Amino acid sequence: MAKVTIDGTEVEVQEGLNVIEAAKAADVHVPHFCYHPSLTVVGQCRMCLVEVEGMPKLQAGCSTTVKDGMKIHVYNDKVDKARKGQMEFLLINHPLDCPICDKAGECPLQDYSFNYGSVTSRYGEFKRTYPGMDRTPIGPHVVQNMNRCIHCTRCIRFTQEITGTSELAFFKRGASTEVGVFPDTPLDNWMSACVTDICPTGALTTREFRFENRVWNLDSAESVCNGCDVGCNIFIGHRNGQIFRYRPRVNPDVNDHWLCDFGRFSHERYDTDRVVVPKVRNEDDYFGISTWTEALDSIGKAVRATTSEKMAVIASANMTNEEAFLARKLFADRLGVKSIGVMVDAIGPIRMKARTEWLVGTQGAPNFRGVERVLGEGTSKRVDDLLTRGAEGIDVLFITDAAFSERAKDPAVVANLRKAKMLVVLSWDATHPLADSADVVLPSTIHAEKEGTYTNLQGRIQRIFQAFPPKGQTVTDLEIYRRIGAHLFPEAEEFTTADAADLFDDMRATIPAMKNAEEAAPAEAW
Amino acid sequence: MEPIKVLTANVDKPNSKSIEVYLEGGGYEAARKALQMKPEEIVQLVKDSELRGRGGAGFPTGNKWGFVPKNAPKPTYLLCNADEAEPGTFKDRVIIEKDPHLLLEGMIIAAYAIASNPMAYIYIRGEFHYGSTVLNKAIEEAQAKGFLGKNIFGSGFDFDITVHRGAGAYICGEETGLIESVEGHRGQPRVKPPFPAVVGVFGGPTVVQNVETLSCVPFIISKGPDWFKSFGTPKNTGPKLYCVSGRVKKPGVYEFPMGVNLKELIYDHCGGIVGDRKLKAVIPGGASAPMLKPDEIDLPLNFDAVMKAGSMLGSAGVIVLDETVCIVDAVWRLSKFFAHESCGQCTPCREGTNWMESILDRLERGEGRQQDADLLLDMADNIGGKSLCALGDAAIGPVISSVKKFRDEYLYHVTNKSCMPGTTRYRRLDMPVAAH
Ligand SMILES: Cc1cc2nc3c(=O)[nH]c(=O)nc-3n(C[C@H](O)[C@H](O)[C@H](O)COP(=O)(O)O)c2cc1C
Ligand code: SF4
Ligand code: SF4
Repeated sequence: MAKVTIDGTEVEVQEGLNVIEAAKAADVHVPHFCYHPSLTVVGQCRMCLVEVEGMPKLQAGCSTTVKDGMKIHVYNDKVDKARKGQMEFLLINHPLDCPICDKAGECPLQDYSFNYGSVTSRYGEFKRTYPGMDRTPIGPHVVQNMNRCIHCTRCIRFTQEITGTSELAFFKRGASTEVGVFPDTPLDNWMSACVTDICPTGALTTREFRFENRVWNLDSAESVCNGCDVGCNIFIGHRNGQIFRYRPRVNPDVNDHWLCDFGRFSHERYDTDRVVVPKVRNEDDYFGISTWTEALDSIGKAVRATTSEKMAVIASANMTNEEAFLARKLFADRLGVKSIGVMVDAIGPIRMKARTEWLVGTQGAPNFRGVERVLGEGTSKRVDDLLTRGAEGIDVLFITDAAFSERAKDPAVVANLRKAKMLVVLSWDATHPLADSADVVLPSTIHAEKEGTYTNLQGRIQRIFQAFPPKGQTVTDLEIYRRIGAHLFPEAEEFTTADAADLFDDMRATIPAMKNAEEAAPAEAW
Repeated sequence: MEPIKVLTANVDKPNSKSIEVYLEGGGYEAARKALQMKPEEIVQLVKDSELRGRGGAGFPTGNKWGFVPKNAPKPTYLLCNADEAEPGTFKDRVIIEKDPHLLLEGMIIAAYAIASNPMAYIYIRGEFHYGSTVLNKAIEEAQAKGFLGKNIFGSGFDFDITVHRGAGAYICGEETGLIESVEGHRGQPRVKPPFPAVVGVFGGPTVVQNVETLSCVPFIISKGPDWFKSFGTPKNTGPKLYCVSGRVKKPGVYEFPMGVNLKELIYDHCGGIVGDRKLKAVIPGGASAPMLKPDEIDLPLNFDAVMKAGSMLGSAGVIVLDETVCIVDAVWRLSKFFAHESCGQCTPCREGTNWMESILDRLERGEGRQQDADLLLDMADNIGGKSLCALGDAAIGPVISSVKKFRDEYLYHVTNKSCMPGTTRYRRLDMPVAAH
């Protein structure tokens, strides 16, 4: 350990830490552009210059490691002059087009301009521009505006050090230096859009989010990507119940600063017609909208008319642990259904770089492990039989999520499932074939609308928060199970609440494997 | 002070580049002697000789060799810096083209002193095509005689040298830029620490040494440090090549003991100023060295004295400017060089050198502004000591010194929108004629 003094505060930090990281211990922020904790140190932007007592020249905070007894000044007149000087250099050739720039509002260059920029300019020359490089798609997702670039090389280092694909490089030199892709080699890798997160300017933006919204108009919810079983931590950027983007949320153990392109843009799957009210098929085979009461009545009638042996449930790996837990209480504990299965599609492999290791996602849903653990002996074999041989002899078949597998879109599979006397399907997608051929469709919610926990491939239990409430007559999936339960068992206590926090606690108490869940998914505000 | 012939002893001989001529003069005897010594002894001799690097910084060579860790897991490298790209510098070229074996012998000794199985490159600037052929030929000759290759002089020491041609970038003369370039990357300096002596080319410990520095080494071995120190003054020792260019009657490479008087060099040895005009300024150490005014040139050209005078000996490229030179124009030309040669990775140098060049260009075009001189000074302060490598510092040398010493000339450009009477702008043919 090293005792260092940073702007008068003495702190004890790990020897060998650089000044930027060490200063965090003293709650001092060292402005920087090119330094990134997950990339190599290059000392290029010169924004992090600090004064170290005993050294004649200012030192770059990123490449200077602390030693015991060091006295460091992050804020004094000498450093301030230097920092303003670097800021001036960075801005003289910058287009200053924040009003039309997608980065504005979350842009380090803009933020530091407020602190270290000048209202007037001393630059009386023509600005350098990069004609033909100002709105250029350089890959399937990333659009480049070289005029805004400050040459920090974060994007270049990302492709060299994280993805190892090296599509980006510096070309030319001096003031003409440009960041670009090699001819015929687009920036096309499975994590390409990450460069737009780490770019400290609006030089790199995604085709998908460009000009879609101002970032300060977006609300942000902490969540977990449901694209695969890695479970990357994300922020959902949303407004008025519409998702505009996913951004990575730093978690060194899972996704560090990154997010794969598949997951990042996976919210596009919700750009579809939603099921907004329950639908019930009547005796005349007319499939029309209904009230919740009518829908519950027809489920109740069918359930009471049969026995537990003739009921089956296909659970989904998209369910949260809490949903699986309440579904278990309803179907297994109360109705005695034995035939409960859960399956997951194989995808990928999707590789994700955590700080210390590579995680490899192979399941097309976020929570197969959790759901299986909660439901107990649920196996995919059971589901497989239903899909391939058909639901012959089943009176009531519940499907907790029409999107439980890509196979559910196959007409042959739909026909097989349809062999059940009554098919009850939860779905958010109105265009899903299962939502068309069911007897009862209940409008379910997308993951941005619910809260709960997922168990990822490491066994880590991670929490998702509700970004916005379900719309119209839709309710959370938990509420659906509660309603069915309360309808069938009016006296039962467990169907009086559909609160995720309560269910979480209950689940920890009931299921041994979930006992330590609290540590992985620390309670903040439910 | 009289010229000497130590480093240049062979250069006037016919076919001086051949190994036969070199051997006639006692060549490779120093290497033979060195390889019978212990490496530490050689390092100590070089330390005792007070040899300082001739590439620009003047760092004590023996100390540099002492930093190399012994028994490093990766191979140790010796890189000879033959990039010689500093404007006004053309001394290494003479050794490379006229006496390549002197350099090779120096490299054998240096390599033996720093490691038991070192690898070596001569990084030569791309434009020195002829030089590279001479070196390659010399290496072949030395290999044929067994001076390079396996078991040199029966000492068990294996050593070979590869010539690596650059692709035309001044920045590849900066030692970490050179290392990147040797590795096959874009010539872009690295952050220090780690220093090359610890982590250099391909991750191995690396010593980068100028051509002239290495060429001094055989003399230290054969004649001893005391003989070497008999040239010059304490801490500024040895024979030294000076490159004189610009408005003198006899430009060229001159060899003197370290510390020849600058005034004497210009007026006595180089025959004075062309047309016997008046001297205006001298750049004593290559393009990056701050200018000296005529009343400041009565000084010995050694590292410490020039430093004390506010400039630097650098590569000892003495550039002489006479009274007909427009200072703003000369500085513009130098600035254009640095702006063009900036690698572009760090903020102050990439943006600052270009900005300085634009302002100077504007001044020359008669569009100068009153605040330009101060702006140049303030901007130079934001570059100096702030850049990643020393190119940023180099770029401000001529600017700061000229604004401080020739401020009236800058202001004349602003008020009169033209150069001072009697001075002319250097014009390239492809440059549009300015409006003054
Ligand atoms: C921008 C820049 C350019 C340089 N160019 C050269 C060069 O062309 N030749 C050279 O020998 N040293 C050059 N140097 C100095 C080298 O970095 C290094 O100090 C030198 O090669 C060390 O050798 P020495 O100790 O023998 O002088 C340059 C330095 C800088 C900052
Ligand atoms: S595009 Fe962005 S991340 Fe890449 S070098 Fe430029 S500013 Fe940095
Ligand atoms: S000072 Fe200039 S040459 Fe040196 S690293 Fe910075 S941009 Fe490159």
